[in-house]
Amino acid sequence: MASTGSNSSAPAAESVGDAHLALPVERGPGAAAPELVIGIGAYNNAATIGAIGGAVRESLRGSLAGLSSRVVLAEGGSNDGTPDLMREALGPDARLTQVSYPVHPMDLLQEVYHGLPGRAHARAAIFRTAHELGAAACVILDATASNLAPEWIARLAQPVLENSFDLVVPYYLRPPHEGALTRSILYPLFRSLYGVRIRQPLAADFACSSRLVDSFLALDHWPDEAGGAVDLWTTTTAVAGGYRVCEAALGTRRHEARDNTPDLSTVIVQVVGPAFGDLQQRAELWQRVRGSASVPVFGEAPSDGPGEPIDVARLVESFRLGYRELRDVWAAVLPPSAIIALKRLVASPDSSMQMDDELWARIVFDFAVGYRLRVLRSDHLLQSLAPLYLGWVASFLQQVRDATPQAVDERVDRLGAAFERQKPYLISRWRWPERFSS
Amino acid sequence: MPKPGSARDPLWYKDAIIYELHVKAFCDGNGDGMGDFAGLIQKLDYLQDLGVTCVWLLPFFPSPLRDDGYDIADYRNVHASYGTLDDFQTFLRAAHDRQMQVVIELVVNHTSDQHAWFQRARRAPAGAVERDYYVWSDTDQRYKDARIIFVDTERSNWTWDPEARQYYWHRFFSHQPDLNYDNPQVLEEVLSVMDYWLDMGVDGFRLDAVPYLVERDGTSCENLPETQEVIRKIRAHIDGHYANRMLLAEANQWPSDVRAYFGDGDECHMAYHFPLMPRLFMGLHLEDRHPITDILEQTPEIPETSQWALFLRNHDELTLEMVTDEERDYMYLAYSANPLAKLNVGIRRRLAPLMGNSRRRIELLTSILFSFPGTPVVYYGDEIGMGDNIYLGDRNGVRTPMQWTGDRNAGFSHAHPARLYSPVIVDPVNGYQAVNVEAQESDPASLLHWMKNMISLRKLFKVFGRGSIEFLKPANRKVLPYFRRYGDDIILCVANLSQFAQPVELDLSALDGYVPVEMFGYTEFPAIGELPYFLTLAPYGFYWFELQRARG
Amino acid sequence: MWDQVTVIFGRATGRVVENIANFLPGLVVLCVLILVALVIALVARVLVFRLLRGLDFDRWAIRSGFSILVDWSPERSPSRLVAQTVLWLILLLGFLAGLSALDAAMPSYFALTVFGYLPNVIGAIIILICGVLIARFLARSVLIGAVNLQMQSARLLSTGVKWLVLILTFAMALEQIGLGRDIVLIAFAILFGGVVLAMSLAIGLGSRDLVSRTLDRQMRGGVDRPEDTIDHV
Repeated sequence: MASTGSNSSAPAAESVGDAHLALPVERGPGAAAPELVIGIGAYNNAATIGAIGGAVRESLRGSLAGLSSRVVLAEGGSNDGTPDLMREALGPDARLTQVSYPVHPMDLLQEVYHGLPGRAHARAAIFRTAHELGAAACVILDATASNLAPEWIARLAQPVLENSFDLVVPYYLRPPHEGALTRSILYPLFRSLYGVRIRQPLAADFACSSRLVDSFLALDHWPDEAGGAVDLWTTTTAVAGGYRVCEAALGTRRHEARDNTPDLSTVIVQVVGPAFGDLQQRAELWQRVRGSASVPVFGEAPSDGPGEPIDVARLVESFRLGYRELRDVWAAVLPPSAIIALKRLVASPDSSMQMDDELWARIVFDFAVGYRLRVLRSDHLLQSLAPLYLGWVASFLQQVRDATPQAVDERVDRLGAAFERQKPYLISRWRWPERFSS
Repeated sequence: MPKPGSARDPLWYKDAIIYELHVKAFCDGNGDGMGDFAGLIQKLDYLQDLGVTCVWLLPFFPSPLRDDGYDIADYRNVHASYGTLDDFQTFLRAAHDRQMQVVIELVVNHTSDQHAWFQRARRAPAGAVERDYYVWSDTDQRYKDARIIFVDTERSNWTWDPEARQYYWHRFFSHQPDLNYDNPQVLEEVLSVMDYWLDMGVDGFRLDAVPYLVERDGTSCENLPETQEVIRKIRAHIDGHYANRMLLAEANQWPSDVRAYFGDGDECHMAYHFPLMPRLFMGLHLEDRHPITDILEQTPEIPETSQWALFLRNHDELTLEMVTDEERDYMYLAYSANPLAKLNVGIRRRLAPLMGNSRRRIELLTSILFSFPGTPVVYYGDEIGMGDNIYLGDRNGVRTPMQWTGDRNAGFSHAHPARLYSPVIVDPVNGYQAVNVEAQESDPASLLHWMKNMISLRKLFKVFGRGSIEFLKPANRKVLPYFRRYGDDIILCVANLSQFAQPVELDLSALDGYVPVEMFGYTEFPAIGELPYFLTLAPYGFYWFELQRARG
Repeated sequence: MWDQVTVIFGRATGRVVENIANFLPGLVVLCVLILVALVIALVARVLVFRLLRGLDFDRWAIRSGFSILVDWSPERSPSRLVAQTVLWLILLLGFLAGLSALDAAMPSYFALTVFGYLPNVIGAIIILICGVLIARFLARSVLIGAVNLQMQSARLLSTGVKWLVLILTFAMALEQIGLGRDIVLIAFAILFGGVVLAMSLAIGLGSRDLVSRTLDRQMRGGVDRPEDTIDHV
């Protein structure tokens, strides 16, 4: 199925059939290995792909002009002309390799928060192509980002190309109400477990070195569930393998607003589920990590103003409802002391409802242990975490109401420290789950 | 291209938790009163849940069962009572699906007198190749220096065969003639039997009675260099054709003698540490660490790829062959108040009754088993503290049906109780109504849960299976402290062998600045300084510490 | 007179002999059929058992939560249960076929009734088991789902769903075995209709404003959930 396109200056679209067949992608006569591969996974992203293609073109003409590069579009069989729009946007100079990745009917049935069905397959196809092309660095871009700035690509790629980092994850500056799940669970959890402070462990846009690409491809177990599994897995694998990680400040990121965004509990199942699952896989590793260190940040982030105020009262209301109705479910996971602490919170007035960092950390850890011990069906367990999470978000938003982005970052940093302080609690519950409660 | 095994890591046996079980005694799937593979398959989830990574099956081959299957009549089949070859393969697949390795027992020293080889041999004329499969003699005076092992039943190692009109050699029961490894065809046959099982996917063999393979006049006929040569050939053959398989030698010998069975890493991968086991029991009863530290200090270094197999109890009697006469007397006095408990040169009891059913003592010995250098072997039933029945003959008292529930036949079988291959344990303390899996699973404080936690904790640290050991010698000899080190990991274990609380002062000044973190509850203890480190231990208490560098 | 007696006797014996002669082949057929059925059944049992064992059916059954099945099975092996069921079904089939071969009205009517009724009972039992499992599962799913949708009456809804499924299950099971078919049907229709009517009345009259407001909001775009204003990931 592999056919190589022309090596002319015309839009060179090469189609490599089923990427899983691992067919060699020929570089074309006389072409050296590209230094940079820019990979984009797309499936019916006509709305945003043009803007992304434009940004890629601009960056290839601008800051990345001196580099040999190749754009790889992993395409799941769009029917809205996504590949054509991409080719058009890239312009005549860029060299585009199109690989298709399989989208299984089951993938399409699931609503996923990032809207790319078969994400792991798309990523594998890009990595494989980058490996075959022999690229020194590989930048992965998310097709749903609507405000991708041209300089992002260079910022992500440069630490790999110039400072020999292996993984560059983005550092977005976001108003307090954005990325709440990342801030309240993923970041502190990742930081306390693996000892690396990465603000966006679930990276959709990132860059990695050829070394890391090879090590990904060498692993025979790739996450296959939908959702955040592969995004988180990428970061965790790199950190667990001792690869050099840094952050690149990119500014503000906005998703394409979609009308089929899954609801919160589904997002939690898709994002927190894999994170908890990962704990089981790597218990040997994270139980030895102590403390944490921040990673170098490249670039200066432009600061955003505070975001629009959120109606905290309704979040609190969701939390109270959750306490009233789901207390029995929580009691299967949380120790009595946590339930009592929650009871006190429920009784406190809206404006002064403040969930303690340590309490929140223990709750997340208790759910992680509950997930491991399978005290409930895993989706029930994770869905029942939603009201607790909203309670935490409410108390967090009240605390950072008028804070600057830097202050918000500091606040999140304190939460991460609380998770680290509570880590012995997680380890002891993990190792010796027996508790008096019958 | 060597045929791959189910394990990925060639050194998988170093990190394994081996569970020893007898198909007959584990679970009865077809209601005939005898356990079988169908039943065993149903219980694999239980074993996985327990955390076991390797199952070692006692012999399940066709056999007249005059020595519980150790008298094999056909090496390439499954005893009809336990199921069919298909059943075995289903079991093997199911175990591998659960990331469990399977080690089977291969008795290569002898066969049953019912084996076709023996029947052929006794009918063949003297000197024929078929006759030469076994060791024959016209007189019973050869190899006079070889001791008799089953002193309670056998008078000589030679037995007259009226049909062959010659004596045949047997180191064990008279119905178990020894194979003649001086005949190269015998080794070839044995290798082809091994290929047969390895091709099927079996991950390893326990080689039973391995010191006795070859006989020479004027020697004890044990641990001969010729025997080592046979093992080397077996290992070379397996390494040449298969990947990630394992040979486990059963050599009930002194450590310096057993050392030979590892060769230069070119013989057996593993061997049992027999002498350690009685000394653990002795140290506990004496409340003195000396017997334990002494035997481990006498244990020679073994090659990098080799590993000791450690156990507390197994399907045989607690053997006292590898102790001095005085030690043996002590052990009899200490652990076999009932003379019925003695058998051959040992004590035929299970772990729980030996420990006087004391949970603390069981836990202490198990913690030592799990933290000493080697791979622990857990005997079925000991994870729930099963009892024994010394009124059953031979070693059958420790081979009673596994106790699953409080229902009829302990949930082991649906057969009429009279049909069971052996009565279940019914005494009020260790009987199945009191001690069974179902009850312990629902009790979070049970021994079973404790075992699960211990096993999963041990699996988090490679140091236990792969690290070195170094004993500390504080003045209080009732306390047994030791370091385990592997890479950057340093583990300090401290065990109190006494039934009363004990203080101990440990000289840890070399580790100044480290913080001991108790491993079960992840509790930080005060940092180590220049002064002796002071600890108090509860009766039969033990600590496992991870030594972490102080922060900052 | 003696002649007549002889004639009548002859006729009577003839009839009896004839009857027996009519009856005997049927009996032979019955025996043969039972024998054939027995052979087929034994072979089928072995085949089914082998097949299921090969597919590792026991483990699948335990894994998929049919542990009840395991407890009920002989020797705790569901594949043995299935194999045994197949054996007895084939035997029963052979026996019934044999009975009809006897051509005796009574047994074949009886046979047909039994034969026709048995699947219903089995069906009813399966429906009951599934229903209870589904009800328990749905109750918790609905509870958590409803709380996450900010529904104040989450508990009520969950209990309602549970009992609805249970009642439906019972009705279906009774319907299946044909016990008081009409009564069950009518009672269920009344109950179900009543619940729906009550709900629509309550919504229509009691919360007219609320409903119109909600619908209005739906029309104007999306459900208004507080967490939707937050970008989570």
